[in-house]
Amino acid sequence: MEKKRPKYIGFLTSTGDAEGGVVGGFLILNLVGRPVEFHCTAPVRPNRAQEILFGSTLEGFMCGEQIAPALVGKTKLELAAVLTNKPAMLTAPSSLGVPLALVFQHGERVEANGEAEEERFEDDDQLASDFLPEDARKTREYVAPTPEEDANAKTFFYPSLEDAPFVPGVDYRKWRETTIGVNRIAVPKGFLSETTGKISFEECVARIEPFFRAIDSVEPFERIRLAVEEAQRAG
Amino acid sequence: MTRCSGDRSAPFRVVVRSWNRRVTTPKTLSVACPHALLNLEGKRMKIETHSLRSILTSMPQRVFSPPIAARMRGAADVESFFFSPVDDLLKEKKEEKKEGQARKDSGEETPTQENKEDASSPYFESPKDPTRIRVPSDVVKIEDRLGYILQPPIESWLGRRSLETPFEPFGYQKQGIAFLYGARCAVLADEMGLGKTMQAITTIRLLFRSGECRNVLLVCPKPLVTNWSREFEMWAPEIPIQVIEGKSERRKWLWGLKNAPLRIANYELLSRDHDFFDPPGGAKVVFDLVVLDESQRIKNKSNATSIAARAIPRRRSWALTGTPVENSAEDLVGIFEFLSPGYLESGLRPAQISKLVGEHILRRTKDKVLKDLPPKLVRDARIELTDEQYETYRIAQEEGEIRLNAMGDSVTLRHAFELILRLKQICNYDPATNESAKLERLEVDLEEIAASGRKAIVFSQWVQTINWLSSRLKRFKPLEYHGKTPPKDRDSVIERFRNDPRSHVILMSYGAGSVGLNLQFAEYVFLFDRWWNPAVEDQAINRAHRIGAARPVTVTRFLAVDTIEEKIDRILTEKRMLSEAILSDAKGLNYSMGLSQEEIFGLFNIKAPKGKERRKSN
Repeated sequence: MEKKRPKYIGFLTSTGDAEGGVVGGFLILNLVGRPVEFHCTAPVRPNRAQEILFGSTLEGFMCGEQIAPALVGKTKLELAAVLTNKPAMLTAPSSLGVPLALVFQHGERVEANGEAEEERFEDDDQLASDFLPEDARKTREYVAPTPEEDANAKTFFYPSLEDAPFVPGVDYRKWRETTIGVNRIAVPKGFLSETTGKISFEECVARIEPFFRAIDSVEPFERIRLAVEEAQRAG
Repeated sequence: MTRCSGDRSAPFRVVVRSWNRRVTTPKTLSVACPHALLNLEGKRMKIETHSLRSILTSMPQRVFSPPIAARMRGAADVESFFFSPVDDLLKEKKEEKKEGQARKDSGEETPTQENKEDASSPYFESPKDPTRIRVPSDVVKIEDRLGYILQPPIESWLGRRSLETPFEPFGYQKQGIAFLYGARCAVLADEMGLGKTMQAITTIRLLFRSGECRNVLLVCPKPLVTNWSREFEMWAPEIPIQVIEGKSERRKWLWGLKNAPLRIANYELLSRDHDFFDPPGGAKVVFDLVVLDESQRIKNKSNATSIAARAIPRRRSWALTGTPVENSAEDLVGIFEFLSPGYLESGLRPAQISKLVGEHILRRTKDKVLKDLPPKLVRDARIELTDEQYETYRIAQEEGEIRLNAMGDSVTLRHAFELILRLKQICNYDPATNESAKLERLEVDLEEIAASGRKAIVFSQWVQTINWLSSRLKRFKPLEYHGKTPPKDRDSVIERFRNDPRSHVILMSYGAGSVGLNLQFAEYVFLFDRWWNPAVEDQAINRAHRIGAARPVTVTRFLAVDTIEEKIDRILTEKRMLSEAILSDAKGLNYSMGLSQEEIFGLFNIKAPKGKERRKSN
């Protein structure tokens, strides 16, 4: 008998606050896109020691080891997957108990921002080829984006997974690109955890696919951003 | 969708590509459609060119699927869109096929089904600027505010297969839905013809779906009950409707039902049924939402209907009106007394009211949101009465003024009104000689309209005038629709006017015909005489000039020169300015420009008596 698939999906992201901290937001939706749970963190600010210790891996540490487990761990619901638009979240351990997929492109919007995106990548490539070794391309010291940057820039739109920014601790080879409707996402080639057992790539895609009938992969992140802003306004 | 062969003189082939089944039934469609004709006969029919053309061009664009409607908007006119040769369609298909083959040959990747822009794709795609539910400012708790913010955009709701709509709502309509969804008290004051009904029904549907409402009451004028029922069947077919009507016992039972999701009542019943929905000391049904359509009915705080409406137990209150300010800013005070008692006080200046109500009122006008709607051309036909007619008018005026003056302080508004009505009737036609300069002008215009196969609506204030016009315009076979038309015959009159190509004119009274009717296939509107307030005139005009109108609407307002009609027109213009002042945040206008006692007597150069009733006309 076919196993029933989970009826909820999570969207996980982080956004910068005005004082240089990072705020995590986690939204759980049901199959028709209605919110079921929402959690957000207080602004997380690395101390000086952490900055020195983690260096370029600081973003991965904050997102993948502090924010993701804290937020995903709050829910008691069984999730089909957690989608994120922040590559740094992919450093989260498998003990989260749910496959993490990266949303890296959305058909129409890539076209809308195509010019600007192209320019940025050209600059980065130029910079990388001139001054940096091959494996350190697109590696920059982590600076939390300001709320304005987060709101305006579609930083997570990459033409393909190969163009995703290098984040120490994230091995993109473990993910595989797939397209569902207009949504381009990177799904784990295989996921193994104590709670879920082994989940294949195909099973991951099959778990995510039904949700894209009512929502797309981008819009829920906007809801999180607005909700985090509202929560911050309320103190 | 239909494409026809290019030869307009011969019967032609019709290709029906797709059609929304819900709009094809003659019951819900305002006009018969080719598909329905085909189905009725059970076989493919040859349809004469002229009848198909008249059907298609008079059909509101909204009944077509969104991609087709979008293409129609791009076309020069509806006719040219439909009457392009059927070969075009085949050509397009062939070209598409050729392109696909060329791509295949050159090794280029063929777009996958998923990536292609295809309406049949099962996956949702949110628009660039999704319409988000508006968070009401009176919601203070952060949990509640987040509850609104985290809701999916309206497009996501409407994109679901389980929530199909007969056509894709316009952007402004989605904003209206987003405004209403979260509102505890709201006035949707869109100009007539922008789809307030559809916005309210869709929002109610969403509230039902989200479990926020289980028990809704809609109150509307009695003649509109069937219209609302029909619209609910079309836009929310899954919601069962209970119309509150019948004998007292039955109505009492209907009011007390615990599991009726949607009830429709009329204003006329409200004051009679006060004890049924608000039983003294008894258990009452508390409505999750009460919607008042044509809410200008409760603008007067002290009338029985208004008092009864305020007594309905409820959690949310919405008012729908195209004319929130008819006479003075006080009208809004009356409506808000229902929505949020005590929120507005009498005596505030328009600017203050505008500031207070701004957040609770959503008002859009056609010129702002419907760029594609054909224009409305309004022209004032200044008519000089015939010599005999003017003589009758002059004598009636002089005698009337003498009589009013002679009455001294015992004169009342009623006396003045009687004289005004008498003079206005003479402006329409002279009962002694049957002469009418307006009729002469009307006949000339109607000749042209009938000859070109168009349709016209003529509005008058009086049934008597309508009857008289009907007898004088016999050769145009006019139809009549007024207060004396039996309710059971009304729908058939409208259907005949709509579908009978030989029927070119309908004579309507403002009272019966100015609200709730969709007559966008008529291209000419004549205001044979003027109503007391511009809002009612606008309502009348908007029967024809509304969504679905395919051609420009020409409005002719008859105005007898050098008569009381000219003076009234001046006051109407000022009233219009007041309405704009409150709803568009303009400042610096007088507080009220309603037809005050002084102004009514001023029409005859008579001083208003002191200490008498200070009523205003409606």
